[in-house]
Amino acid sequence: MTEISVKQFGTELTSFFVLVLLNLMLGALAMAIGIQIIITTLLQHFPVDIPSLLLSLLVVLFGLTGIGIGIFWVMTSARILRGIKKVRNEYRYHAIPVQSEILTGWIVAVVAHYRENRPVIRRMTSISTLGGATFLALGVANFIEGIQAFAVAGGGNGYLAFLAAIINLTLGVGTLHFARGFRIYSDAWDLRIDRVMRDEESLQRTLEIG
Amino acid sequence: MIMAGRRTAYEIYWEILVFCKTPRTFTAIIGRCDLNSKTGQEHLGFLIDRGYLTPDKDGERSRYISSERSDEYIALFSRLYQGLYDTIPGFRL
Repeated sequence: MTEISVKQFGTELTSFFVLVLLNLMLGALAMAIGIQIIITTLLQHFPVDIPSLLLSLLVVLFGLTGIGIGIFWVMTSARILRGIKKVRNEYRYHAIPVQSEILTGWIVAVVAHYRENRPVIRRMTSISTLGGATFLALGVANFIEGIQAFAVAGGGNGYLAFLAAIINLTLGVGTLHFARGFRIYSDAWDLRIDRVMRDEESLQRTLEIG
Repeated sequence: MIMAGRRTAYEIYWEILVFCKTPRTFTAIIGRCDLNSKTGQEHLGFLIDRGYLTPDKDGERSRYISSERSDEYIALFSRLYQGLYDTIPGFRL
């Protein structure tokens, strides 16, 4: 039983670690894109008419929201990462075969970590979904921009817009995939936490009989 | 490994019993299991009352050692927790 558990434990831990790490990078990217949107808008000529001014303000607000989401995304990822890094390091550098008590200790640490960060991991799922949808929206906007550039100027900045569209759409699909990963992880761990609660009865009985 | 995070009393009992397979002082136990003095006293008191932990006076210092009774609890706990990974389909990226 231990060998299967160790393998399964290691696979899950590594998958989750990579997932959180990628989220950290996406958070940083969301911040960078937010800053880029604000700078680009501010560098453009100052709009004189009210509709253009409102549009610029909206774009700046969008950029600020991106920065805010990015900061939250990075901070949340870092917090989750810190919790599992210790267990992962012990797992990585531990000699094989792993003693049953060592493995149980790691499992307890991960269970406690999930129990403590359950709401954060749930929020992470929502943030990733929101981030993915935003990247997709940006990708679509870039794509439309590219088509317009080709239609009006016969090219021009159209190639750049298409390149940006490809990047944003890829990021969007990737981020939504990560959000799905978080959801699967959360669902699996919710079931496990429920099972731990059910198993507490057997532990209580053993303690009482003992 | 020093445990932290939100743990149940049963998880803390398991940690204490495994750690006390060799005699340990109160300070070492609360340090290792990340407990404050009050909670540490409560958990130790519970385990001593049930005969899972035996105090061992060594001069002025009190040490605690897990009794044979604790083996059953440790084994059941390990089986249940490792079972979490055996029976429920896991997650993979």
